[in-house]
Amino acid sequence: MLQKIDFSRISFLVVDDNQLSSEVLRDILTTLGADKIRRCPDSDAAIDILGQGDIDVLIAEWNIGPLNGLELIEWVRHSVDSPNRMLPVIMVTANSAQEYVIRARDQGVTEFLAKPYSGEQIFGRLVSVIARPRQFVNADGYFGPDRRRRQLRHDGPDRRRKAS
Amino acid sequence: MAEKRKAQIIPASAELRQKAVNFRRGIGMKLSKKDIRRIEQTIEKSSDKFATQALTTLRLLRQNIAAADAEARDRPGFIDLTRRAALDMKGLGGTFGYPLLSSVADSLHDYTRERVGANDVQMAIIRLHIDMLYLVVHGKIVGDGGAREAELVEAFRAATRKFA
Repeated sequence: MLQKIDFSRISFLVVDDNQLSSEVLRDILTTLGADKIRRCPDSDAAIDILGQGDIDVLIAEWNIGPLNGLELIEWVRHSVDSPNRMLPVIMVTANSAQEYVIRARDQGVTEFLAKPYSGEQIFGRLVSVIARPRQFVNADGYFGPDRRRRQLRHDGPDRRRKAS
Repeated sequence: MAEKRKAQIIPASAELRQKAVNFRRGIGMKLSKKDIRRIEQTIEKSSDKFATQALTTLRLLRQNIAAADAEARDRPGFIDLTRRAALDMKGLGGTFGYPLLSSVADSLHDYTRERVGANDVQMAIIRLHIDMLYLVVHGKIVGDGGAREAELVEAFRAATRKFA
């Protein structure tokens, strides 16, 4: 039997200063069955909402202020005020050049989606963060989802330490 | 020299999966054609709104470019406005069925991304981009246009490289 995702069980925060872009994301989420969708145009409001602790998935544009999307991810991953340092974050942005993808990945983004996107593409990212969560890595200079997507065979000893 | 800390692996959180993934309620993890069509229809509903907003923005840019042409000191502000508008159109155009608009906006965004001022030739290139964007939205040129339009986009790219 095919597995399903009940989007009504998940709460979303969409942070985008372009109202139409934010509305379209809300409409897509609603079409998928989500009904707990909050939206805001800037990082200050986002931090207020995230601080309340009831957001399951953050969807953020890079080009927001006063903190940009990358700095907002940094807050989520590193701030002592962050309610969930392992919060899934999908960055949806028109900054699609490879340099941006790499910077977002190194800041701990969970999924990156370049605009323009299709409905299927955003659905794919949502499925990924909800149904296929990734392990986290806490290393010197990095805290975030494991950046290695492919599981390559490794014949040497496993020197990584499991969290207790 | 301080010894490098070993990476700590934190197992993936199954919380969202447990909350939302099931066999009874929601949307199948592989989208059906019907689901895809529903999402597309959701996006299409906002397409007219996007075109109206894009035309308003482009009219504003066309008004402002005259002042920026006349006064060099107005150019940084105008370029800033253009850069943000180009990024928004690049991001949303393709989503709403205007991939040609996204391509031209991408060229304009690249051209203005690091630019503060512009000489007369560079202003002319910016104006050509804006005029083309206006034509695409006003003429409702959905899709990628065709071979001639692809040549035009390449010509824009060539001009931006030549007069960088």
